[in-house]
Amino acid sequence: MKSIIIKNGEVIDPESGVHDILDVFIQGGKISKVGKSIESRADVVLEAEGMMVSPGFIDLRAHLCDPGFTRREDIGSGSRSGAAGGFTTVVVRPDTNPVVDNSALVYYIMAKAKETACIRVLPSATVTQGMKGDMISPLGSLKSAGVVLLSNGIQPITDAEVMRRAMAFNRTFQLPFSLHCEEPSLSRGGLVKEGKTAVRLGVKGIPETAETVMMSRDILLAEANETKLHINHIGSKSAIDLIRAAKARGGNVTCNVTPYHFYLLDRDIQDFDPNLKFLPPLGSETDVKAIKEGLKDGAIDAIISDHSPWTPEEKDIEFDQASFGAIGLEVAFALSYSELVVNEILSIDELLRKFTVNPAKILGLDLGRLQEGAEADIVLIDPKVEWVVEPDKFESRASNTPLRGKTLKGRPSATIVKGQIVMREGKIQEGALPFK
Amino acid sequence: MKWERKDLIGLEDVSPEEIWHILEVAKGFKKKLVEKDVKKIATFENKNFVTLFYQASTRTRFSFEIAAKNLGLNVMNFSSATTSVSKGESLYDTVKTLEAMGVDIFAIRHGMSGSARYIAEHTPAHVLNAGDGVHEHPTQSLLDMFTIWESKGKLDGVKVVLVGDHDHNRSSRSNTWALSKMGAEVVLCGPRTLVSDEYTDLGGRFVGDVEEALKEADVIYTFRIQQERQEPGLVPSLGEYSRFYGINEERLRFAKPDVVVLHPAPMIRGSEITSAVADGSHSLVFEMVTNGVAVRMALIYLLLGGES
Repeated sequence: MKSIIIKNGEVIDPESGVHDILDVFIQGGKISKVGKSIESRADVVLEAEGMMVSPGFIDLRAHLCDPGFTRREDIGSGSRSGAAGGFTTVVVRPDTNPVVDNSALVYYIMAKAKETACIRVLPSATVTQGMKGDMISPLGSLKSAGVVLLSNGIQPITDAEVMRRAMAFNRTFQLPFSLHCEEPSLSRGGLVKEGKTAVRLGVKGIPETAETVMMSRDILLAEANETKLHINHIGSKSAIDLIRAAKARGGNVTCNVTPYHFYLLDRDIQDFDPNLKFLPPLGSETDVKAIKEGLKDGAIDAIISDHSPWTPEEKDIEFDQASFGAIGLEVAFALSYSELVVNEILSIDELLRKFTVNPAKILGLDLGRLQEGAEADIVLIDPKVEWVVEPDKFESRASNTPLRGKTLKGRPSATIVKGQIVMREGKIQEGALPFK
Repeated sequence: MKWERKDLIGLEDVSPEEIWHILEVAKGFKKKLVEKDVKKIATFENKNFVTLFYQASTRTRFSFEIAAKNLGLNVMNFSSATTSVSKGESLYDTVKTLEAMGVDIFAIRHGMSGSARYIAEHTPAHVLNAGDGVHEHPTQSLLDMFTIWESKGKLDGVKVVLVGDHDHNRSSRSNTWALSKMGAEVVLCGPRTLVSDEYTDLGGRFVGDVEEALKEADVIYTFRIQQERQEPGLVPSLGEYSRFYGINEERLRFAKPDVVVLHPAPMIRGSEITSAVADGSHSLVFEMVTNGVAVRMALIYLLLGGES
């Protein structure tokens, strides 16, 4: 394995608070030294003047659609998409076909990741068997096999007793519950957020209470059962208020948001553009303002890609029938940087915290820090570059995003995983398979 | 004015000038219809017209068909039950197939909001929205306005009370937008489960009590509870609805003496309207049907460039 030295970059490590022009020396897959003007000779020299050097990004939720839906994406293409976007670790959604509810599927994902992935691909599992919402999955076996968190995909567990049992059983195993909160009897048939846009378009609205009613239930159940709860893609001010209240009570509750939900508004859905269909639905100005405040004051812990690839046959169709969501791995950081740092809502240190050490802590893994002895998962960022989103040129197999044609600022320029350069100057490196 | 639209998808973005233009052209056709003089205006013998209906309809479909025939078009009907749709063909493919056969103009009715726009964006043929989901039903609204204009001589300042299920009604949406921009005073009335809080952002004001709403009304526009488009349970029963929102002779007294009653039909007699009102002297229910033909002739005429 080649040694690497990153010279004269602006090293930012949110975990320790280091923010300085430093060199980083990498050897044997680990960071062996961080300091001023390191003299050691390395096999590869990365000149990083004008670049930011950060711990690699950690994504708590991406759909790589493998097994079962590989026309949309697979573990290999999804990992390359992640690397292009600066992610060194991605937790994949378990609502594949078949769903990940047993060790065999976990082994499949890990084996395929080893053979084809250029970043860390970590499996999650469904809370219930077959994602049917009745019998709980073998949580202990799943954890032993390598699962890092439990998820319900986008399928609500309607039976509160099933959720309580799952959380109680998990007390021995302490896997985080990563939940999509939606009360289906309230959201049924809804396509956009309830309000002016829904009325105008003549489509059924999803009331805010669809999110908050279910979230309240899950927060209370988690508190009663010592569960580490992580709420996915917060979509409304009311939901953030619930998180704040739970955190104030000392609950072990964290949450994330997607960049689309603080960049787009429900009123942007002017003419039935299916690319603007999201779950939870895009919010109002009040919601977007609250999300930005929540990111600033720490109510929102992490930013996720919520990568949701779809084929044109599933997305580029009538609004009613089009699937929810957009691809996110290759735009998540740049959109966040453009919206939050360029507009001076967050400092770069605060933003990177949401992409690195916070998600690592939620997973309980020793990742997301740029320090001597840590895993050499690193991303170099060019903060000045302006680029136009051309999803057809993305590494992802899919191209469904409402950002097509938009100019973003800042972009990862190199990605290092376990001490190996997997992306450099926007290009995935030939044969970059650090876990093979 | 010069007509420039390829399609008519909705009235939200149509200007008052354009609406007046349509109504004026329709007025000419109405005269010919009344005088049984339509044979002389057949001007589009080589054009093909398809009614593409994915939802049941009697009035609207026949109205389009007669309007098109009056203008000399070849008319074909499409029904989703008897075609490849039952084999799973997409809306897109159906339209492209018909377009390839030489269809010049579609009148489309579909259960999904946004479907008419979707089609219009994907075909060079003209598209007339005959109702998309609960979004818009522009030709209904135009014939309603034509009827009001004909009976009141104006639209500006006319008080129109729309009573019914607004959330699930596309004609209500089109009318709320269009009547507001034409200067009418729009009052929306109906059960709170059927009128979203934000509905009045489209125009008009909400009054919950029907008798309060009807005060000084020039026009009462009542319509059916759209049971096929709403989830069950939003209204306790038709009896309860009729008691609090039904239009009967006693309630007409709250309106102006010369109030006119419109209903887009089909009517559920005894529910939202009594037979005494529907067949009474204030009712324009059947006049509206004739006006519908005139308005649709005007639209086909304008879209096909009848003036150029």
